[in-house]
Amino acid sequence: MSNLLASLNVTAGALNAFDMALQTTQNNVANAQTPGYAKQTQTIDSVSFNLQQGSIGGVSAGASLSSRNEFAEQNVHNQNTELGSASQSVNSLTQLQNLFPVADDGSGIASAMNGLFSAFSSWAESPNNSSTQQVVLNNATTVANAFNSTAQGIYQFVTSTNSQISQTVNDINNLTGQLAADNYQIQHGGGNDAGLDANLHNTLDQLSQYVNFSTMQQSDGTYTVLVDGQTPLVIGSNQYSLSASMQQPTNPTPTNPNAPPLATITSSSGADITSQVNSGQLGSLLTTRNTVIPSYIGDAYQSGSLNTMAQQFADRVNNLLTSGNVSDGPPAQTGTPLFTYDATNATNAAASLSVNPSITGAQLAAIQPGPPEVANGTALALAGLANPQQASDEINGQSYTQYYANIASSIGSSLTQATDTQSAQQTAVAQAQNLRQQASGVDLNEEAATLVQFQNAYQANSRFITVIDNITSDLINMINTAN
Amino acid sequence: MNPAELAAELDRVCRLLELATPPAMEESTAVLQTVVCELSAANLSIQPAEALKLRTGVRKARLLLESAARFHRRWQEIVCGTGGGYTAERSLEQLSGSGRIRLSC
Repeated sequence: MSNLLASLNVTAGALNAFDMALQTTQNNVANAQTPGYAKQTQTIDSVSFNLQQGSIGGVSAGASLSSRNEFAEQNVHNQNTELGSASQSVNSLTQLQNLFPVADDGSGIASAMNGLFSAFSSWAESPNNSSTQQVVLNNATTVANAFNSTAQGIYQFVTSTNSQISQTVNDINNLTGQLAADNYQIQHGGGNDAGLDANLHNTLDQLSQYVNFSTMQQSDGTYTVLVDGQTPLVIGSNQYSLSASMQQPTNPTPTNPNAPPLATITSSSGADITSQVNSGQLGSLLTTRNTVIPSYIGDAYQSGSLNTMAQQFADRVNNLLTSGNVSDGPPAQTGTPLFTYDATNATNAAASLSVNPSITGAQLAAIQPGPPEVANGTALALAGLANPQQASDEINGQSYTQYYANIASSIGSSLTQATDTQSAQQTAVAQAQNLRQQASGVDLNEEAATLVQFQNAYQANSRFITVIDNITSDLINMINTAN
Repeated sequence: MNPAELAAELDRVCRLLELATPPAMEESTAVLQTVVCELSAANLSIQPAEALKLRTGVRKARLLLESAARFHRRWQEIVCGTGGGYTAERSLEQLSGSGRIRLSC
């Protein structure tokens, strides 16, 4: 009787094992399109045969193994993070580029400055003509307005970037909350749940678009998530939330204490981890907010190129006008400054630039006292700012229009580069997903052989790519030289 | 080949690299070799936009190649560590593809 029961047990064990294997297969088929799902394999363990100890052999269901390869997962995350970063850069730079128009269509700083130089030139031809004087005042107002509206546009961009940073931090916290909840389920018996595993990895895929992180699977099956491999976001069922704030740096002491504050990311323990967030959507937003934008409108330690340009242009025009005379006299009547701006805050020059409200056309000083005195000398010198012949009429060795064009073109070339990177990165994500697919459930012998094959192809390809790169560089240099 | 055809071939290389399987890699080597020969031999009349498009294709191919190479290098370390273990000098045992029999049907 006991032998019969033992046989029945063996049969039941085998049936149970194969039933579980069938279920696993059904799971694999049903979840073929589930995001984050990795193929599961049901292992079947042999049971030892030892009649003396009452063990009658057969098979039993072993652990359900995931074919997921964590290294391949991390590779997909890394590529996703780079794509998130590139996509965000394209988005930010496109908005920024629109604030620096270069077309001479009446909009923007370039067009306004050309109009003012043209007005100076007309005024030089008829220095005492009230209508040419008025055109100078009107066009100077247009220049001031153009600087104001560009600065205001950047401030609006700052506000929108700040709110995007806060929103992204919220999204990250929501996702890490989900991961902590998934870990909790793993700790409480969900370790072999393929659906839970798929859900968790899908959440990790989503998180990778936002921030650079690494994961470590712990012995209890839970995932630890660390920003830049350092600051915890999730450990077990505990979530460590990030927060975003705008702060003025204090060390070293700011030279521009009234400058717009910079974005700071703080860990749950209150540590500043901004420098650790160096990629993903959040990394790109922080670069835009803390590096790119300040290069135009300044921060605690720099005035920014737009403010530098506004201030130096206003100072040079004012300097020429105040060193000229409105009339010979006697006594000679000296000129009045054309522009005013907030001199107490170097980061506010462009936003505060305006035409001196008390100046009239008749107060514009066209006469260069000399000797020899030139009746329209100052007006000519002002018109000459368009094509400077001396260092004092330049800004960083360039004319004002060249300086502005360089600002605009640097944004344009950064945008082109970011667009190229985004396009390449989209393909790199697809490649990483393909590699992940290939790495699932590989046979080691087969893999060793394919790796050797791959290595040969890689060495040949890298040589060719270097050659092509050199040839195209030569071609581009030849074209640039010819032009 | 004209510049547009060369750019198309570079696109093909990128698509093969995106697949990143060893056979696709081998095929991409052949295509790249053709592109190098064409670029080296021909006196191309090329426009700036076409040159930049070629440059973009090369950069994309380089990124994909480097990314796949990084993956496979690391993967090889994992495979060597798992399949061959470590040497007495604590470096990874190298696995060789030669001498292995691979049957497929």
